[in-house]
Amino acid sequence: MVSKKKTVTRHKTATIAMVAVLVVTVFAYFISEKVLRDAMLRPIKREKVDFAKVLDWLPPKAKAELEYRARYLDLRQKYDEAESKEDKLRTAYALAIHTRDMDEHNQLMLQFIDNSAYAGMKKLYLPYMRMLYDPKNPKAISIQKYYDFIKTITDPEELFFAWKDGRDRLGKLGLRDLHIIHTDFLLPLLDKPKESFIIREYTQLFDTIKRNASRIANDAVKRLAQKRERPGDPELITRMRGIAKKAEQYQTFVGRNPLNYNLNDYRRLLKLRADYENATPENKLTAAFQLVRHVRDPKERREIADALCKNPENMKNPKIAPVLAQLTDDREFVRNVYHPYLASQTDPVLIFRTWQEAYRRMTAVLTSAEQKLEVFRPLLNYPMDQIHFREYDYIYDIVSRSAIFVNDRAAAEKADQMKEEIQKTKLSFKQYQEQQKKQETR
Amino acid sequence: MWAIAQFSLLKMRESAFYLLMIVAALICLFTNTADPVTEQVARGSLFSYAFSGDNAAPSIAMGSCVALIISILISSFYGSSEIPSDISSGVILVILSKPVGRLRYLAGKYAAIVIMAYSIFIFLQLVLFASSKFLGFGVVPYNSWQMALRQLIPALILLPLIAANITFSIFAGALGAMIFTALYLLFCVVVAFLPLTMALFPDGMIPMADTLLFGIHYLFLNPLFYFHDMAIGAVPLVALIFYSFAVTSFFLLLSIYMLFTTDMNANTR
Repeated sequence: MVSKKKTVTRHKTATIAMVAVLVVTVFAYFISEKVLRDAMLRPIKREKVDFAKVLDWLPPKAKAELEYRARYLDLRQKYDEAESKEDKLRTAYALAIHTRDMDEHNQLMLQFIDNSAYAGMKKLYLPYMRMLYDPKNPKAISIQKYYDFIKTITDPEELFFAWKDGRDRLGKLGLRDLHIIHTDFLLPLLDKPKESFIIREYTQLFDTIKRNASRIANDAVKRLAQKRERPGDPELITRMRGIAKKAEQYQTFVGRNPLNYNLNDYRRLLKLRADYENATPENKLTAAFQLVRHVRDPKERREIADALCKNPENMKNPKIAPVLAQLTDDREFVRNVYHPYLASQTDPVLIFRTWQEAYRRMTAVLTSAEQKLEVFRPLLNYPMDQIHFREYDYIYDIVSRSAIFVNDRAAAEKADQMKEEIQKTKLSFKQYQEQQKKQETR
Repeated sequence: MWAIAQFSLLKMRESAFYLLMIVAALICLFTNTADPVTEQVARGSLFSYAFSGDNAAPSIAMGSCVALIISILISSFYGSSEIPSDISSGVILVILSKPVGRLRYLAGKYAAIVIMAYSIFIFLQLVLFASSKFLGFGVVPYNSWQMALRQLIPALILLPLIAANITFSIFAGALGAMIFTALYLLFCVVVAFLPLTMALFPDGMIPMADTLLFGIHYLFLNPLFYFHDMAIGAVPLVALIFYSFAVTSFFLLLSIYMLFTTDMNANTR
C-alpha cells in the first residue's frame, strides 16, 4: 500500500511538473507566435496595399464604407506625418478630395490660401481650385480671388493647370447654366497675347470658350426668333459671336504655332534644361545637343550655341558638330559659324555626319528651298575626292530639288551631276569604314 | 501507453475504414485537378495575403488540402468518441485499475488519434504523389523535396486540433466535442485574420483592435501559419513546430487536469 505521505509527495511533484510544463509552454507559445506572425506580415507593404481588392469579398455597401474609412485613415496618417511643405500640400489635397466632411475639407484647404509661407509653391493652385466658387460651400473663394491668385503663377505648366482644373472644378459643382459660367471664367484668357500660350493644350480651353459662346449666342438668337427676347440680347449675340471668333483664332494659333509644346514635350524640355545645367564638362555637349534639338525658341537655341562656341575647347571637340548642325535653320548662324566650322574640319566622317545632321534638321523644320540651298551650297564646291561616301547622294538630291524650286539651273545641274557620280564611284559609308579598318590592321 | 494506443488503433483494421480510405483517395484525386489554393485567390485580395508572401514558394495542391480536411474529419470523429465511450462504458475504470496512470491513458489515446490522422494523411499524399508521378494526374506536379515538404507542413495543424478535440470530448461528450471542435476551428479561422487585417489597414481601422481584439487572437490557434508561404523558411518552420507543440501542450494539460478532477464512477454519459 502506498502511504498517505508518499501520495501527497507524488501529487505535489505532479503539480510542480504540470506548472513547469505550463510555464515552458506559455513561453514557447508567445515566442513562436511572434516569430510566425512577423514572418507572415513582413512581406506586406502597406503603401502598396489596394484596399479595394482586399475588401473585394465584402458586400458592395460594406466594402464601399470600409474602403472609404481605410483610405481616409491612410491619407490622414500620411497628412499627419508629412513634414515638408510640399508633402503637407500634397497630402492635405489628397485628404481633402477624399473626406466627406466639408468642414475638414475647408480646414485642410484654407490653410494654404493667402498663406505667405506657401507662396510660389508648385501645385499651390490645387487648394484654390478646390475652394473655387462653390455655392454650397460657405467658405468658398470667389472667381475674382482665383484670378488674383492665377496672376501670381509664373510656371507655364502650373498656369495651364490652374485654368484647366479650375474649369473642370466648376463643371463638377452641378451648377446651372454651366456654359455661361465656363465662358465667363475662361474669358480673361482672350485678353492675353496669343504668343504667351506656349502650351498647346490651351486649345482645349479656347475650344470650350468657342463652343459655349456660340451656344449662348444661338440661345439668344432663338429667343429673338421666338419673340421672347431679354433686354440686351442683340448686344449679347454680337458680343458672344465676337468672343467665339476670337477664341477660334486663338485656338488655331496656339495649335499651329511651331514654337509651342504639348505638355509632355514641355516637361521633357524642363528636364533637358535641368540636365544641361547640371551636366559635367564631359557631358555638356551631349546634353546641349539633346536640349538644342528639343528647344523650339530660336533665341534660346542660339544662346546655348553661342555659349558653347565661346569656349575654344568645345570647338575642338567633335561632339559640337551635331549641336551646330541643329542650328542650320538660323541663316546668320550658318553664315558666321556653321560654314566656317565645317570648312576648318578635315575628318571626312565628322564632315559627313555634320551634313547628315544638318539634312535631318532642315527636313524636320519648316524652311524654304532658298534657305536649304543656302545651307547646302558649299557642297557644290566640294571636289569629288573630298566626298568619300555614297550616302552624300541624298543630300545632293535635296540640293538639286531646292535649286529647281528657286530656279537656280546651274546649281541643280551641278548637284545632279555630282549625285550621279557619287552613286557610280563612291563606296557606302559601311564599306568605307571596313576598308579603313583593313588598312589600319595592315 | 502503447497498449492503449494499439487498442484504439484496432478500428483502423475494420473493413469500413478501408472503404473510407478508398473513397477519400478518389475524392483527393478528383479535387487535385483544380488549381492550387494560392492560385485560386485573386492577387492583392485579403486571401492572397493570408496564403502567399513569396510567389516563388511551391503551391499547396488542392488534393493536399482535401486530404488534410479528410484527416481532420476522421480524426475528430474518432477522437471525440474515444474517451467519452470509455467513461460511459466504464472501460476507463478497468484500465485505470491496472498499473496505468491517467497521464499514460491520455497519452495513449492522443498518440492513437495522431497516428491514425497522420496515417490517413500520408496515405492520401502517397496516392497523390503516385498519381502525379506515374499517371500525370493533378495540376501541381510533385517533383521536388520542397514541394513534398510544402504539402506536409499544413498537416502539423493536426497535432493541436486533435488535442483540442480530446479536451472538448472530456467535458462535453462525443457529440459536444465534434460541435466544439468545429466551432473552435471556425473561430480560429476568423480570428486568424485579425493580425493580418491590422497589418493591411491603417491604425484605427478596427475600433479597439489594438488592445482587446488583438488580445483575443492569442486564445485561438492561427491556422494561417500552417498555410502561409513563409512556413517553408527554416526559422518559421521551427517556430511552427514549437507553436504546434505549445498549443498541443495547453490542451493536453487541460485534459490531464480534467481527467484528474472528473469522477469516473459517475456513469452519467
